[in-house]
Amino acid sequence: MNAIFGQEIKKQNIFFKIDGRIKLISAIMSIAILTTISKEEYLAACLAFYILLLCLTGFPVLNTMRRILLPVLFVGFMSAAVTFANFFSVQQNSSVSGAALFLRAFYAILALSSAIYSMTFREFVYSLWALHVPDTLVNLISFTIRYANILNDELWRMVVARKARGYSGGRNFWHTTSMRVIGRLVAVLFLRAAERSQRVYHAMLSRGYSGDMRLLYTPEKLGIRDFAYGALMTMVPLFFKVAEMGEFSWIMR
Amino acid sequence: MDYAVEIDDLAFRYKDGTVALKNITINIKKGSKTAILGHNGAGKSTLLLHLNGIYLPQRGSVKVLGVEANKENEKFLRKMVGLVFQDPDDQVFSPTVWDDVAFGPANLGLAKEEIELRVEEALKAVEIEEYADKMPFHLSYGQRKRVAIAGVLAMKPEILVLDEPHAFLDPKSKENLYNILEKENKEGKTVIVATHDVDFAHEWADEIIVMREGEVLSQGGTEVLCREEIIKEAGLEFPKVVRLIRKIRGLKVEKIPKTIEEAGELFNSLINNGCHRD
Ligand SMILES: Nc1ncnc2c1ncn2[C@@H]1O[C@H](COP(=O)(O)OP(=O)(O)O)[C@@H](O)[C@H]1O
Ligand SMILES: [Mg+2]
Repeated sequence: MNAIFGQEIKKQNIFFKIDGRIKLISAIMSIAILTTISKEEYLAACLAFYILLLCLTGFPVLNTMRRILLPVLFVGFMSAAVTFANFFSVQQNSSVSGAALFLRAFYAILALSSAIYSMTFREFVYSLWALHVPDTLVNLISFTIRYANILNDELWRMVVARKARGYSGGRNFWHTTSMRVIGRLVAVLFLRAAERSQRVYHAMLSRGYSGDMRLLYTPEKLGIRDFAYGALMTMVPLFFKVAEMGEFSWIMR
Repeated sequence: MDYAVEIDDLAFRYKDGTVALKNITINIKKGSKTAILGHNGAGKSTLLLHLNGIYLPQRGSVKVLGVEANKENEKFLRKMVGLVFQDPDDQVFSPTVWDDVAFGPANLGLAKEEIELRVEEALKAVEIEEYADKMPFHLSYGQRKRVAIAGVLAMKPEILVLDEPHAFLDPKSKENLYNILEKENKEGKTVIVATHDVDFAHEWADEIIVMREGEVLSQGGTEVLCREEIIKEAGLEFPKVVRLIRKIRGLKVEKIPKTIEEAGELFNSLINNGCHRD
């Protein structure tokens, strides 16, 4: 769980202190608003605003960027494909540009991951539960996360074991022996993780687990800071949304 | 005689066809200290998972405190039998030590104050109070093992079952473990330990069960561990004290000492007797 949640970081900076429920809700709401904005400038402004907000509240932005690099790259690739498709499509002025898609997705990934990363596991599960996410789904999500951790853990053990026996990693993608080693590693990894998660599940059953987690978590009372954060997070995208709809044109005139 | 566990002709085969238990018939006395010995793959873990209904008998029967192990009695079994898994990393999963120890009591549906009390007691028993807020992943192996034990102690089971608790423990942790088991037993709990540590079994247990390839080779008092044919067949070795006694030619003792201390006393008295005769 240490790979995903940020309980290691001393809860000194403001961002980590903001209530988990508020962080989740405002992230989801702002994402929802953003998906309806299509002007690249406005989307970029929202993104810049959020990054600025993160920096100001002391969130480790660079660190997080590194963590989410892979999904962002993936999204970038997809958006580029869309741009190409648009370029060649007969129908000009297609509704969404690749850049807009990319900005939206980037925002979504960043907003959700920063919200989740700044919570403890318990806070996260509690927040989902408090937001009336169905129990089954909450359990499913918490198990997925636990499983991901088991997978990660097993992988790490295997890598260490291999290194100890002198395997030094691939030279390049076409280096066949290393590709074969990696292929086998992945296959064994899933088997081991599956067996291990069965043992983990048995251990949970042994301690009386019967399908629902009892939460022993008492959240702190919501304060001005939490509401201010939530308002800011939703108001800024909303502002740009309204701007896009042309409602402010009378001011400009 | 009151039995904590009665197993009659139990057999179990895994999905992949491995026959892990063949025809196990054993009784474990209430309030006893029982050691289950056997080499790797003898079926110890599989047997233990039958004690709290994780696995149900495919043939034969398992009774815990007089109650038949089946789907309906699952809750009762889980409450009465506290099972500590071999690998603490399979058992300890919560973000903090405190949370993990609270997991069991919370599942029992206890009130919050009671849970807090039990967690505190359990952490104290295994001497890791100061790590309550730490992440288990950052603790040493021995400490994680203690967290796992605390997590089960907090549920206050009638029967405490530990699967190879000695593996990879340093001497201090072993001593702590010994004391915990003694204390729980003194309080009237039945304690069952699967192990291949013959020294521990010989010193601590009053009941010995020796397993081999899914079968019970022998059940009895600690004298079982002095019988050559059983030790050989089970792929175990004699306890150190027994080995030492066997090395002394012509020595016949009524009762083989259980610990190094007892052996020392025996030798001292022998030497003293010898001196007086001169
Ligand atoms: N999940 C499983 N699936 C298939 N076979 C298993 C499984 N777990 C254990 N076994 C097999 O069952 C036998 C008994 O194993 P186990 O009970 O773990 O022995 P022990 O705990 O004494 O080392 C072994 O042959 C082992 O390979
Ligand atoms: Mg085992």
